[in-house]
Amino acid sequence: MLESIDSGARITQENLEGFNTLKRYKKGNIRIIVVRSKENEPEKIIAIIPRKDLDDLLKVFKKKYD
Amino acid sequence: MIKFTNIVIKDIRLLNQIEDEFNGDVDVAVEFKDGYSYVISVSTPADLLEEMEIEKSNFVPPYSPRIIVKKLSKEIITEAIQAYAQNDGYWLKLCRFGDELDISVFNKLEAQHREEWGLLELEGLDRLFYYIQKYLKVPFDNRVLMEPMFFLILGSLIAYGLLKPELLDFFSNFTH
Repeated sequence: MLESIDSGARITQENLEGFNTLKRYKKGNIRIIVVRSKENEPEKIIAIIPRKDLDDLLKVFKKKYD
Repeated sequence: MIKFTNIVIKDIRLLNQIEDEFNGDVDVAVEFKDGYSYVISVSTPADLLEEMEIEKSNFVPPYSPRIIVKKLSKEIITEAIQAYAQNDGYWLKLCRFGDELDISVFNKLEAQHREEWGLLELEGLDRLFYYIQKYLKVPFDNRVLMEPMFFLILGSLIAYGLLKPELLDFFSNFTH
């Protein structure tokens, strides 16, 4: 996966439903959850997970992120 | 192990926002009556084409099956998921667990298919052996041994009969 990111392969990104600060990058079955950049800070990766675990993780993040 | 005899979907939740209804994908959480849920992926044809273009590939890379819809609207996604949930959720489960299936499942199906395919080529005694082994429930992998075993036993009996001709006297009892 990291090799494909380096080579500029397609990584789609969308906002996560129900969150103002989180968005999702997608590559195949892998989902990368990041906190949006604010002011001069870069985006911060908070999770790299298989798609199957996405729903459970978002339920946990609901308590932690806006 | 949980067995679903009837799939009852309680809720369908889109986990990411949709920017373009005709070109994109969405992760969908499908929640069942008992609270259990799993995530499947729903895409559009344009999304697949774009994926191939950007990846500079002539095919969509192999990973777990997904549902393809014309438009990423909640209504169409729900309609598609309901269709995939028919027959005890066979296709829905394939979308969720398709990339976790053990290869032995396919190998078994392939072996069965090879057996049926091979049957078309069989003639005469081979076909007879096939049916004998099938009804004896001999595992497919062991069936190749049956034919040489049969001839070995037959050959042994003939040899025994020739070496001990008095054995044949047994049959003469029936002639009187």
